[in-house]
Amino acid sequence: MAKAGTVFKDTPADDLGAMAVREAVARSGIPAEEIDEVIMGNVAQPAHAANIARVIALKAGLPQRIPAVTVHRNCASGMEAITTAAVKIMAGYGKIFVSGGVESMSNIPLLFPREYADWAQRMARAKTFPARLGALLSFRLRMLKPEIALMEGLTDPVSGLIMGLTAENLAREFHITREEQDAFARESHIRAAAALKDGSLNGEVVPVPAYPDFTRIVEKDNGPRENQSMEALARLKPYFDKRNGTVTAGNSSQITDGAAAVVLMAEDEARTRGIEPLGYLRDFAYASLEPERMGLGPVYASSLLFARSGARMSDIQYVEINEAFAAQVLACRIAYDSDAFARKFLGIDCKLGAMDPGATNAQGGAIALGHPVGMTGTRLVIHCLRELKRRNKNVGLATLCVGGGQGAALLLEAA
Amino acid sequence: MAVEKPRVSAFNVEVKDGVARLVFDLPGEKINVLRSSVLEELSGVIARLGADREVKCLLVESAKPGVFVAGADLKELAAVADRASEVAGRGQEVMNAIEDLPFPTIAVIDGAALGGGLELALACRWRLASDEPSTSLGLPETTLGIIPGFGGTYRLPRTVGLSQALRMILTGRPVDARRALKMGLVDGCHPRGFLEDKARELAARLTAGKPPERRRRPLSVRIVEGNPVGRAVIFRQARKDVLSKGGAHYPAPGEAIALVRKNRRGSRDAAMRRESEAIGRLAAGPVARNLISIFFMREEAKKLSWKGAHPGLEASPSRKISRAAVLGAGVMGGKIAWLFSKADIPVVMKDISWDAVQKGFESAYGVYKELGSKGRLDARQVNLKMHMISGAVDYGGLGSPDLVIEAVVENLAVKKKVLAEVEGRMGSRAILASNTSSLSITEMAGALSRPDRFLGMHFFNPPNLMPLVEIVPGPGTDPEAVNGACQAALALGKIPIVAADRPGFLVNRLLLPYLNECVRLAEEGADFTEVDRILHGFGWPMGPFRLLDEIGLDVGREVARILHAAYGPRAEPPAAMERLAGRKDMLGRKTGKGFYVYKGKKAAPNHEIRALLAAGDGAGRGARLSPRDILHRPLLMMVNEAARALQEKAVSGPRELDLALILGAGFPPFRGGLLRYADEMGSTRVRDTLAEYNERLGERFSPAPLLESMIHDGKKFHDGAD
Repeated sequence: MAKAGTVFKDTPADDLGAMAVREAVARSGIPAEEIDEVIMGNVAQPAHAANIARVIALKAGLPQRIPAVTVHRNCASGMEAITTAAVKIMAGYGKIFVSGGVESMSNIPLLFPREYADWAQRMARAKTFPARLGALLSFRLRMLKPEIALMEGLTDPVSGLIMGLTAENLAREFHITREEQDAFARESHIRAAAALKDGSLNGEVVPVPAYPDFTRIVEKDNGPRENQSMEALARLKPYFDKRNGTVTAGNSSQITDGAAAVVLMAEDEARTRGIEPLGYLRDFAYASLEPERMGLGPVYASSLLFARSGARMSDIQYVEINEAFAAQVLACRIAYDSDAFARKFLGIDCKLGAMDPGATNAQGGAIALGHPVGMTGTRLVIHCLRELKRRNKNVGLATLCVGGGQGAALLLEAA
Repeated sequence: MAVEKPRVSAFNVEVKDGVARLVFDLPGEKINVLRSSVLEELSGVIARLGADREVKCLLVESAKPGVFVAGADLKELAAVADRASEVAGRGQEVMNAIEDLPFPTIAVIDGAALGGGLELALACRWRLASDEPSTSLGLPETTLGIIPGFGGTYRLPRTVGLSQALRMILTGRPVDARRALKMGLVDGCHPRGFLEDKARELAARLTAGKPPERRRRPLSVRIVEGNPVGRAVIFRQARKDVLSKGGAHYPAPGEAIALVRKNRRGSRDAAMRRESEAIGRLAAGPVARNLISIFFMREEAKKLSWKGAHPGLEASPSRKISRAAVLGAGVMGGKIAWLFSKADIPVVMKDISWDAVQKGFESAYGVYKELGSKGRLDARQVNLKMHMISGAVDYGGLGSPDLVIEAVVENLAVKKKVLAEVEGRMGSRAILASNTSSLSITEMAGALSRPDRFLGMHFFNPPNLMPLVEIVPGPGTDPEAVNGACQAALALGKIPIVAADRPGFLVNRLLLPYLNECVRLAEEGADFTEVDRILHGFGWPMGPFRLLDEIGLDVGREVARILHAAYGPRAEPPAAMERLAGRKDMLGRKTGKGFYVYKGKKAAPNHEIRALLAAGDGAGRGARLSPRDILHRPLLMMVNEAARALQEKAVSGPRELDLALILGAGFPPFRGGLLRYADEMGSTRVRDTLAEYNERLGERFSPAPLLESMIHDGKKFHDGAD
């Protein structure tokens, strides 16, 4: 993963995704011919690669006969890819799937306004000289004011709020101060930087060349800042609510490019093949809530997941939760541990149970590592399973909030 | 009087609604070629069609998939080289007859239209081509030492203009349909599925007397070629290009330029006569004979027809490489990876550090960038090809390759270790190959538990350009693996030559005695620029000292040492070699200077190095070396070593040996090969000259036993017909 506009800025999403898929397949030892389908999550689907999953599959060198589909559940797209495959496997619609997520936030384009498109069409249609002149004269400079697709994408069209403002909502609702948010952000950086150093991400991160000229290999994520200080964080101005806000660029997730992929199959299929899996997906749930409180999605989704699977928070030995915003994670932390919240919003009598900060996001999260929206879901699953293994623990939870007012929660088990 | 039909017809003719279809379908062949019997039949068919009142338009087509007409029958041409002008004359008559038909003619080209095939299409008044990748139009004759002989030098310039015609004739490089349309070589370029419809449509318009407008040549071309000054510039440039590409040795391009110039004016008959006379001269000469013979050798090599020379190879089935790995990324590894990616075979480059892997990526991408700048590939294609390459620093990233090529440093211990490591990660049917140039395959095989899957695959540097791969089986290599490696080399667009596991394999073993001798000449007082001039004049693409600069003096010394240890006193490197390699700042092109000082594309003699060359014992023998000695001493060292290699069965035969030296070392092709050259000199003269040198200069010239027995039996290296 690399911060948008840095080393991967000239590596489009399909190229990033192809490299991740190729490595996942090569390392799985599964003959590519035996894959049934490729499912990729991607949010800002590039104009040059419609159904990017298919482009990725072909560029990764998978046989042409393998179909591919792109899934979109906003920030949970990378999880949706996994759970869709899981459901297909359970339903008997295929045995081996490659799932993953990809996002090149560097390459989300600026859009011409619709007015400009209309004008261009008028120009193209005008055949006679007067018609052309007329069309030409109808040009207005404002037609060239671009719409920033990245910002549009991060704005919920129903509530009209950009994601940062939904985090501001939570900061207010749960009274989370700027200092608490900054401290959380700093901790994320420190943990991530330490992980990069001590090698606990080795084997999870595949170095790949940066396109287009291959003059460098990107070996490490470049988001984490080893020396992140509170002072530096405190100096940042609130980004979304300039006057009363607490959410800054420093305590929000980074805009990042990245790709991740996994190979999925049923447990007995893996056993027959003698493959040692990374872990198991036991159950999952997606849940919805008000778009303007979308950051609490994990709590809602976890509630549904627990109700469905019978698991309890006390069974969970490690949690990987996406750090969309520090305020949002801190709000979740409170909500998980609140009877009042549970009664009022989840319709259950008692709280889900507290998250242990010591067993949550041990290597930092999206505030330090970045949040390539379509990809993060897959990364959380991979990282959660690897961390469970490293801790010699068994049961884990990977969860994230989803723009538009949803939450995703996956119950995982280390192999 | 009806013309008697040949027993099996090469042409099917049907006439429907006034439109005749002439479909060329040579019986029993995969491709259409024009040979005498075919031309005879065609002549009859054209005569009949011309007399047929019902025919209003003629379509000329081919029934062979991917081929319109591949050209003249080279086998026949080689056999009747002394009567080539006669054969050409006959072909010209048929083409003229087609041109003179009283109704419109349309060549419908779906596939290769090369040489005589394109000339046939040019004799038609209209040409339509399919836009399939297999469609290519060209006149490759000059690359075979001859010229287009069925009116090509007359009709092509009239169709596409002087400069395009000269380019096509002189480079021999074909163009695709789109390009052909742009330059006016064809009148339409259509998808295969619609080609027939478009041809019918055009025929209908032509018979209705409503011909479509032809494309005009670009204004710039009309201006330049429309005046004598512009034309003079074009011809002068063409002559300059030809001279810079080894001109004097190859008469065909010069003849072609002269013909195009002369045939611009005057009658068709005179032009045809000039053309057939020229081809008669060329075909009977040694250059055309040698180039055509090399063409056949290449074809034999591509079909692996030499497998028979290697026991067990015949029977083994061919196999596709669907995934490969290269160990050792570096510049060499990167370029080998490039070869795989170019052939759309996924390949992993593994090295010990990501920095090294990056160098490999950059090296591979560098080749694509160059191709891209020449317009051969667009960015989309380069992106897809680069996706065929991935990097790894551990064996887990390899997947399960069918072929692994080791290209790590030339150090036996390191190679053994790496090979043993990777062996355990490979499937039982996979092939493991070392790209060593100087180390023993047998010895490396000793470190492996599956020596039957292991062999040498020696790519020449730079592998993206050099067409040869030496395939070196070890003592226990399974013939199936040898075959697989040969197939892989072919899939990469290379020519495989099987060589025995003798030090230096084949090419370096022959090249080093030659280079050693050149350094000796310089030690003895010959100026190295003079030696370069004489051997470059012989036809080598570069003189021996320029070549040493390219190889690197340290690398040359190292290989010379290894060969000395293996072959004894006759391979002893000259003392200067050691002194030269000692100067770390003058190791050749890679350090900016060696025998020459390199600045950009320019090379000037390095005067500093003269002192190093002459400092040894051999210096100042005083005797001024004759140009004859400067030429013969190095070449005969090579011939002598080749005779030994043949006798040891280090290579299966003289044809393989000659081809290997041409493709791997740049031995001048027009000479037909080293042993062909020796044959021309005569075994006795070779032996006698060697004996004389042996007497005068040392035992390294002691004639090889094979030479003696050849003289005794009255044989040549190349015995038998070809």
